[in-house]
Amino acid sequence: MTERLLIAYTLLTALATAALLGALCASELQARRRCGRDAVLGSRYLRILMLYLLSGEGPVPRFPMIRRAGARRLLAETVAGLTGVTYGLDTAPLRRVVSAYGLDRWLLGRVRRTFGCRRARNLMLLARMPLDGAVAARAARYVRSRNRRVRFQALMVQLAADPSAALRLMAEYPAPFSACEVGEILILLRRGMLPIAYGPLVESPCRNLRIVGLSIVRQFGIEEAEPQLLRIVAGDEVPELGREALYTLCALRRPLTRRRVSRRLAVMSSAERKALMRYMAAEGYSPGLLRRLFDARRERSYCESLVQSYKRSLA
Amino acid sequence: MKLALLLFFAAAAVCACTLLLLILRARERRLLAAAARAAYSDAPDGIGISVLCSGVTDPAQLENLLSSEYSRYEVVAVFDSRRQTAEFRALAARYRMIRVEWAPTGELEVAGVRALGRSRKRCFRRLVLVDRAFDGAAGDFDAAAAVATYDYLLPVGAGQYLVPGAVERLVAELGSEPPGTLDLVRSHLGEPAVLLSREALIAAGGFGMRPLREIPRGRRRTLWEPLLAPPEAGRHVPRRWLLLPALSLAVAFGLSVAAGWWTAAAAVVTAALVWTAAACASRAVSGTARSGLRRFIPIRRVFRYY
Repeated sequence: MTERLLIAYTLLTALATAALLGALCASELQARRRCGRDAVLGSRYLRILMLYLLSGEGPVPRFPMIRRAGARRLLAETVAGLTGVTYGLDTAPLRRVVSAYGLDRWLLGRVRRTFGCRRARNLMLLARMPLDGAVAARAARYVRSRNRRVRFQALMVQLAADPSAALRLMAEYPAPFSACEVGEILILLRRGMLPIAYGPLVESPCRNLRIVGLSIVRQFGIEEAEPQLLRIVAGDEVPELGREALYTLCALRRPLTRRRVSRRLAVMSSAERKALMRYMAAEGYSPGLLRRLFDARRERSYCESLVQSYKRSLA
Repeated sequence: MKLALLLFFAAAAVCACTLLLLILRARERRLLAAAARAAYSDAPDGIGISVLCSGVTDPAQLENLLSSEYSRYEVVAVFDSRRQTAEFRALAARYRMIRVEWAPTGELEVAGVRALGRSRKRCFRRLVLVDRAFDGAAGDFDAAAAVATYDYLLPVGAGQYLVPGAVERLVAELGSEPPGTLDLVRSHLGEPAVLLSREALIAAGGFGMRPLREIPRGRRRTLWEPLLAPPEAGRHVPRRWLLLPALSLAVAFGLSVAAGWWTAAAAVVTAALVWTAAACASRAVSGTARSGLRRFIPIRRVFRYY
């Protein structure tokens, strides 16, 4: 019996080893192709696309070796990369290229056949291409995915396809945005694809919209938002938002000797207060202000030593 | 006896395949994080990382640690100016360090600090130099943590270089969870890396008190990808040298199957599977299949921090 088990185990393991060796060889060949053919082809595709963008009209250009393995993905990556680094771009010629070569349909097929992070990567590539509403509608079902990354990239596809519905899409998103997700939305915003109307966002009762609004205020240094920030700092609904608003005030280097700020500091934990002190010391706030904000003797000595560690006493 | 051996071989094969699966999944996450770009341009949610160095005297290593483009990032290097006088002076001149006041914050017990310096803001703003009498790496790390600005600390020793994009990958991992929910992010691949939250370290009482043991499992995260790595020089193994052991394994397998020695055949094929899985994992991690176990899982070093 043991002998039979050993034979079965040996055969199974030999098969698994052969399969792994095959996969290793395939990935080696793919890596060689990427280093050689794809590098040359990528630069040629980019050149053709840029010439087509310069001419602005005419028939869709032909891309060499487009039917070869991996070439369509390369073209999709080139289009997405070009869209990502060009400002004020007329996307109509690129949209013609995408629809003539069926890149959007092809990527949707890849999204359907893959799972997890690979699906999220395909959705991310799709979001960076010039798309029409139909493709975004077909990607909408992934917003309800159980995988957080897939869910968010599906939202990005919808935002890229229809920026005018950004507020509604973000408000309807079923999960709270993480810091990195807000960072990705802000990249769209900085590229001019989303409106920078921080007012409705900061005033909104929706947590996701508020957090995006606060990030806009911090990124663009909008000092006019101070009253709204102070209102959020004083509010008791979501402590995370109050903390974020307080850090935004610090990033704007606004005066913090306000009653609302003191009230927020009183409900923060000791660790959170120390983290804020370190942030303020690095931002260049004066020791006098820190002394007024933090009352306890222990905290006062902590913040004084922090500020001193940025200075040299000459006397 | 044969059954015990069979179980041992099967366990080894299952472990190798599980590790490979974990590394392949981590590769997909890494590629997604690299493509996301958010961490590269911003400091999402103000996440900051302080790298704490003890025993780092090689200027090339310090250059590597300072090369990260991430905005909320600093390197705190601890030197003993009396033992490493030449290196200390060269470093202070190279980065034009300004001497600032050292006042203990009282969070950690730190002794022996002689001076504190910060690099000039317009020249190089991310280096902090602590001059301290050396009494062990744990004391150095505590002194560095006491002057660190940011909430997450990455201790680094001599010969540990940052893998490109490692800081951004750590930030992406921290930024994907609500603030303050992760206390430890670690990686066993390459040189073992441990990113600790400042609060967890202070609660434990410093690096000498084995801080990792106090952190609950729910607040830990393991990344199956290298964050720190040894320097590349002198580690390349020519591919033709690998042919000889591969051929030996194939011949041994053929002979043992022909002779009907199934236990030997199972041992040989298990060794082949583990080696192939290691080569696949190596390709997934670093893009090359040449190395095998030695390069990316230095087993002796893995348990150094525990």
